[in-house]
Amino acid sequence: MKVLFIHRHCGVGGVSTVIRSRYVGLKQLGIEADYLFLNDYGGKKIFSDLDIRLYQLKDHNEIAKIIYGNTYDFISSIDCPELHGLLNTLPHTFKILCEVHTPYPDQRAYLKKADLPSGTRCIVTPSETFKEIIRNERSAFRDIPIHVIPNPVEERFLVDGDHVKEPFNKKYVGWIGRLDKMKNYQEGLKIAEECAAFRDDVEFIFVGRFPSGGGTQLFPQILKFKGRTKFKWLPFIPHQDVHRFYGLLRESGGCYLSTSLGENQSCAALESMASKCPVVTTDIEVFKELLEDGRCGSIYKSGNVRDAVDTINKILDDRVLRDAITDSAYTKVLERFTVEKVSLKWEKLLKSLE
Amino acid sequence: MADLKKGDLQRRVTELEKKVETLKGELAEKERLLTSMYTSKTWKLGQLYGRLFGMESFWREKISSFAKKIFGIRPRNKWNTIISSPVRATDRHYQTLLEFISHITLGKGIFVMIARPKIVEGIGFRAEELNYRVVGLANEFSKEGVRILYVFTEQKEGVSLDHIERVSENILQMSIQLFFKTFEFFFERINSFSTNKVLFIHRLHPCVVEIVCCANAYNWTTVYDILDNWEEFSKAGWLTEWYSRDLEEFVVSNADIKIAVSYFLQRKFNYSGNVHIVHNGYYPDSLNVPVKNLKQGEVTAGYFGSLEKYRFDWDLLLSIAERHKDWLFYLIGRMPRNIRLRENIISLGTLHPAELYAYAQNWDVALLPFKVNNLTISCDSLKVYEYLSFRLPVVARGVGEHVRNYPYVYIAETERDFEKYITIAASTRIEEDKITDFLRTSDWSSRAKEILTIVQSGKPNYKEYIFESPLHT
Repeated sequence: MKVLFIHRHCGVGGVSTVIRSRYVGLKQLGIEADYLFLNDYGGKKIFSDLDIRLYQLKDHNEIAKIIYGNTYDFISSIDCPELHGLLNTLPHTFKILCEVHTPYPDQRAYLKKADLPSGTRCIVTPSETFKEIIRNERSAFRDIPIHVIPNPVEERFLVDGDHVKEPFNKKYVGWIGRLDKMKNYQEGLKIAEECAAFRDDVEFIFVGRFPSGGGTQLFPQILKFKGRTKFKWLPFIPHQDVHRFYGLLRESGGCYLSTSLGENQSCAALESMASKCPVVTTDIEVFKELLEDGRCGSIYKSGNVRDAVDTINKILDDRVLRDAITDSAYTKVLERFTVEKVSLKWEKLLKSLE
Repeated sequence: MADLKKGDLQRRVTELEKKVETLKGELAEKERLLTSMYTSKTWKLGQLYGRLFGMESFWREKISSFAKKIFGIRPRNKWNTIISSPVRATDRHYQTLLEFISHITLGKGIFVMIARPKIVEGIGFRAEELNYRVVGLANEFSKEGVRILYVFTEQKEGVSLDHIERVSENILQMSIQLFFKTFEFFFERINSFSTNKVLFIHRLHPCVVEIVCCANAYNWTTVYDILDNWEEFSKAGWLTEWYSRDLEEFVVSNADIKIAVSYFLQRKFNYSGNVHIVHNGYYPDSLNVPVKNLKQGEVTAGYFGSLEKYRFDWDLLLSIAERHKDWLFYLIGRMPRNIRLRENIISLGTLHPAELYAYAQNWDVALLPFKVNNLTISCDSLKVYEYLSFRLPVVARGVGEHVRNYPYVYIAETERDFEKYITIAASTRIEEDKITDFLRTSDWSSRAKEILTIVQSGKPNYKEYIFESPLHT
């Protein structure tokens, strides 16, 4: 069996890491997977240790040549309406899936415009909540089934047993994501500001870039920050080191924080759960589903900075609560989100479409 | 012939008169246009907008957000002016950087040093530049085989911002504006070299924020070298164009290593963790300069450096000079306005640094008559080291507390003390052994070694954990 995954951009975020894990899992099941994307935004290098075939192409004729030349059984378009026209021209022997991952409503406007390839067999999304969101958004193709296959977590994130605690003199609270309105980084800064006003044993580390590069976009944010600066900023963490970042948060007695207002499932939250690093998130439905209303992670009321700080303080200071949450989260990851478990779901789905 | 000439001239005069009339008409028309423009609503709005430039206030924010909402515009402020730059990175710039990177000696390392002054164009350093901390250190590091990308923030007329210049074999120089366009390329290309990679921030600049964060992400060692109490300078009305406390705190919070020149600055930033001390130093230049003879007093004292009122204690000097009319005081530096010198205070104006020793040889004692405030006591005046290297005893007030431990330096608390110490210092004989011992460990070469030891002492544990921990591997 051979699958081609298509996406608009090969970035360093969610979709690329999902495809990476997926490739590893499917390969173990004897399913070949290739990855085609239109633009590389630095994501290509995260595949450097794998023998996956990557195609960076924009020209439709070239893409068609790849598709016909490789006789794929399945083509999965992940939020890539740019190629739906081309996919429409393919004979029905090619089985087409459409994956909806983007939490950005404007980027999934194609659902509202009913712009899906005509032969689409099914839609795949990573969570039940997200399935409901897109069920309400699509204006046509109501007969196309929607399946939920979660994002997998790579094995390197999984922590087995306890580790020797490093002597950290502060607790790190980590935030990872694109610095935009959806990820709501400014709320993260306000939380850091509020937290710093009450305790000096906590430091925030923000990881991410602004959507459009260039210019000193960070500097104005610093001028807005009130009180003594208690945060570090890293534009990125190399892909191969991300698991260590969650390890740092865990070992220092800190936590992972998401202020996001929209997610399909959240790879970062999942990775944190797998790393036994406690998770604190906003109360959006996707997180409620993932964190089981607080059993696998703490949830605060989005927009309420005071509530966020209280929630973080509890998770930093209450060892019992911390252990209970991380244990539940870890168990859930093992049960549902390992590469092996998720790949079996994919295999099952693909076989059902054959 | 003469009549003809006269006729020609008259015609010419008439023509010119007509032209004047025409121009007057045009002028009147333009004035009318200008008047109507000045009275127009657009102009008045423009004036209002113009007044918002550089205004950092609640109202500026309010008005600018309103303007942005309505017109999609935002008044520029001082930061925008500093940051925005027409400098563009070209293929040639990238090629030069690649060529520079390709010659890194493994094991020696590469340092990026962000500082204010541009090193004078041409190959190599000039001796007078080597007394500046950053230039002195860059010179010493480069002698050790370290490759240095020297980034200057100085922006003044005639300083080219879009050139990369070779200063010496190991030192390349470029503006912060150009570096800001190329730093990520630079860090990425150098990433595969497992060598000492250190970013030194000797001078703050808005662009430094992104540069220090990026350097951290590429696992460089980042060092903030706290040269002065910039906040106090800013309060005194200096450096207001680029200083912001938020900016400095962010850099302090994100740099791996903090080095201060004085204990005052160490205490100021100690909240962020350990702040190391590396004092200033001097460049042991040749002292074989013929003396330029000056008139001598019963005691001859001198000072060179900034004479600005925010630092230099004019009241102290004038008062002592009043009481000791037979003492002579020489001042080298630019005189501030509205200072009336007494007869026994002689201004030599500004001199080339290479000439200082020629004049200083006439002095019995060197002075540092500073006001006592947070600005002065947090500094580590370079002049102390220069005076001592000239074998001059020093009488000082308003200097860092560490200077108390230096040989032949008399620290006065009061004006009377200052006066008393001048007398004592003037009759002090400098013992060469004693001063040599001190100077041997106070030159830039020693300071560079101290800094290298600190830099090699390790990264903060958050970084070691993320980038170097064997966990999970």
